[in-house]
Amino acid sequence: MSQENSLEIKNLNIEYLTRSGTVHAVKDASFSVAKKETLGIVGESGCGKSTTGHAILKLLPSNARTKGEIVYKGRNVLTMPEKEVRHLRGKDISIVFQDPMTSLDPIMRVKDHFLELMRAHKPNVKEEEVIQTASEALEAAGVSKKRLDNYPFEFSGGMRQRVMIALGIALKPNVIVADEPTTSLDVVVQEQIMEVFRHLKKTKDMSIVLITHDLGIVAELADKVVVMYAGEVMEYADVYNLYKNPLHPYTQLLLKSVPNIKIDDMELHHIPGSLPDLKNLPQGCRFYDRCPFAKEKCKKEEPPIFKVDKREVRCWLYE
Amino acid sequence: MNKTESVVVVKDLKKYFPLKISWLEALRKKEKPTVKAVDGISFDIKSNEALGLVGESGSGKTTVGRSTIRLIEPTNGSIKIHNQDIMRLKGENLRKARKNFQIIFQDPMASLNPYMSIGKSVMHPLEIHNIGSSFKERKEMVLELFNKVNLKPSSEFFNRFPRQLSGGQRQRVVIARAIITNPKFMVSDEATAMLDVSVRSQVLKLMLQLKDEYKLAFLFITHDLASAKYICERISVMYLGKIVEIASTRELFEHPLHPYTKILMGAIPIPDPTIKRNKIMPKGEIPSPTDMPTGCRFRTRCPYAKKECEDMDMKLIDMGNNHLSACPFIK
Amino acid sequence: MLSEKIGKNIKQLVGDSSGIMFLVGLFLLIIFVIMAVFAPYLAPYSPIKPTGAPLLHPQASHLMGTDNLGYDVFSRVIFGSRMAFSIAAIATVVAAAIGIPTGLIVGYIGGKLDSVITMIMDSVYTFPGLILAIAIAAMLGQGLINISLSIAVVYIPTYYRVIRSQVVTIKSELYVEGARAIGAKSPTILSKYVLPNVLPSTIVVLSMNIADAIMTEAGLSFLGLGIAPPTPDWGYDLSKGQQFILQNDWWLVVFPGLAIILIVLGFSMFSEGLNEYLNPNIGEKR
Repeated sequence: MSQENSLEIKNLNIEYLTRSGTVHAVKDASFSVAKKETLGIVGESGCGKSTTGHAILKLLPSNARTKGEIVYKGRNVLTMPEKEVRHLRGKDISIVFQDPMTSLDPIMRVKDHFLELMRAHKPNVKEEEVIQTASEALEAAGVSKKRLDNYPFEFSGGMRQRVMIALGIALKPNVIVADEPTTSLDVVVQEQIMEVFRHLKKTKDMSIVLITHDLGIVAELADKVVVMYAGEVMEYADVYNLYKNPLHPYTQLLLKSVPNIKIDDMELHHIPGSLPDLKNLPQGCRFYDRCPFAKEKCKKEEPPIFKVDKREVRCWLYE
Repeated sequence: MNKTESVVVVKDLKKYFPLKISWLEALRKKEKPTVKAVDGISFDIKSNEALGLVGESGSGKTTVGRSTIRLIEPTNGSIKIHNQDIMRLKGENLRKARKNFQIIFQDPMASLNPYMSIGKSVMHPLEIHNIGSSFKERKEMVLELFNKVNLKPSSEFFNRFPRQLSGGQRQRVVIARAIITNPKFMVSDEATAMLDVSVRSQVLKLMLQLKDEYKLAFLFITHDLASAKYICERISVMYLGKIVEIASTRELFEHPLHPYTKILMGAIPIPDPTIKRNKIMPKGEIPSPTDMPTGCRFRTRCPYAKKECEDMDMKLIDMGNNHLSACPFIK
Repeated sequence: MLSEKIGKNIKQLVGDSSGIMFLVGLFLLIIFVIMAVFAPYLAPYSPIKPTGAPLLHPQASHLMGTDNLGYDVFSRVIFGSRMAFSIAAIATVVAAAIGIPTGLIVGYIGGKLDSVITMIMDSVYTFPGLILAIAIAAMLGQGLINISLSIAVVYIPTYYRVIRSQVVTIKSELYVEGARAIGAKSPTILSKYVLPNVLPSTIVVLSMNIADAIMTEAGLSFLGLGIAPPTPDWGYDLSKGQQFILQNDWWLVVFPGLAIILIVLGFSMFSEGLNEYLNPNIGEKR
């Protein structure tokens, strides 16, 4: 991956301090996002994908402790003062959340949301400029600019998510983090929102970090994929090779578990067992309990990342 | 009861929710405005048969599930379960009849009382319906069922609380509680929607296994056609309070007829980056049930809509092969 | 409730270390409980007999001095805790015994009954607590039971409101619908599914309520509507002591006042800490 990276994550560690113990949410995650590239972070609940995504904008709750680097334009976002991070947010890196209803202020019109966003970066911005920018962004997200004066509750779920995306791309950021952008939506609307992302990929010059639990969405949108399990990157590969030839046992089993719509394939697969307790992790591989290929070594030693061709996999099978 | 007779027969089920209006408006209007969440739905399910009910949110599918077992009062319709006229039952009789029909909700955590051990939760239906003579006997029944739904070691699980379980385990507890009274009819309302992919199939398998073992009539409500495929012999597709298509699972997957079904099927993302489909996508989103289109309710979004659609009724037409569709133009 | 506000403010002060707050509150309460239980052994003198010269400064023989009649202030403060606890306890138990079941049943049934009862409770609730207690106390007259009852009336709506609002929320929880689906009767649903889920917040209200009841009782006694003298009572001593404050006889006010402050503080910190402990959602973010 030699082309220029717009974002590089190096040995990211995130812990949450809670009353009942330390939650090891992310451990030693490293990956990068190249310019104009879409990176999918995929995994099940509790895998640390959202935490990782939020860390990119330094949007973690106060009980989170971070180590490692998130390098944007040669600087580590994690150690940047809050004031400078605020300048990055929205303008350089923006985020689209899962639930557009709670992320939009119910008493502000769509126009006001844009105004607020732009004022944060340019205090004396003129109204015409706001309307101009907002109209372009809304159009790119498939919303008519006539709706600038509407309030969030006047939009359907899918339309609200489009408005969120428009806000995300308004200031032409280099990186957009999309955290489960379609999870609260129905399949048909989800497809419509995916179409928006496809369009953005084609027309805009930006990198997308797409966080989702849905392997189908990743397959349709991502160029590169990070598969996370229990806070660790288990596999990191380009989308074609990952789906054609998954290396990590977890990826293999996960792909098999997805219900498909082929009528002649009636086999149901699942991964036995459940996620380890993130407050009390096992000594060896975190997938050991559920892995059909587990060896003695896997129980005792945690596997490092192994490089296979141009791919990365955290599994002793590839030692 | 002979073999082919249906366990569940629902005819013309309707559920209208009254709209909140000011008393001034109420004085002026003679007829109170309503939301037609379910608008005349009929179906039947045989023993050991699963009928899928697929639709988007707002289609009314959840309301169908709850009205069928009278967790909410239907506005109109007839419901027969196990030869019992459910609509006629009142108070105590309805309460007693509930052991014959059960429901599994979407959110397993919310379905369980956080202050009741899961053993007691599952035992409670036995106490309510006076099944088993002593605590010991009932506990035996619960433990046996825990083994069956793979909550092992069962005696250890008995005293655990919902928060100590994983999502998949919780849903298996909920399923155990629903099955323990040996019901004839089971409603599953998006029972696997909140589960992670890696455990979802396990719960699907369990439901399949129990359906076979208890010869259940199963109403499988879901937004996910792919999950429905594994469980259901037949699938019905619902849109804005109406069933638009109903057919055997194979028939529906191989020859979907109604435009909405086709769209629903095309929208499912496929986990294979090499497949690039040409998707037909509808305009906009599901309209609000307070503002329903005239004629065919799907016509405002249908890519094939024409003038005639504005004033047709959405009668299901038999296209052969027991394949019913509400669109007369596509055969 | 006042004690709730106090607790919240202290919580802001101590920040994340709410465990400490809980422990300090508990520590204060234990001291007062010991005082009340072992009063005859702890107090050096009888609280209702003159035991020295009037208006002695605090000194070795009279740790908190004596009042104008020569009563030992220290002994009166110690015995006063008994009065505070007994009135608070009776008042709280009576208020809870009426407020909790009413809230539970009315909240569950809902409908018109709910509107009517809630309206009545709200109108009592909006009345300033002390003034209402004064009015009732003036009607009932002095005495331990009468004072307790007049305080109880003030706090019935507090329980009712907390319980009712919780029941209304819990009623729509899926596990309650689930209980209906398995065929449970309403009384069963109330006792097995609703009550256990409202109980934790009840316990918190209970402990906050005791603090408020103590303050109200002190207020009533201060105004002369409380317990007949010479029974030791902080509020009464406080009101009597204020007559001498201009003569610089500060100990008559400071010690009973301090006792009231500390016990209220103790209950507030304890209940806020308890609240956080019983309500894991407040503290633990993910």
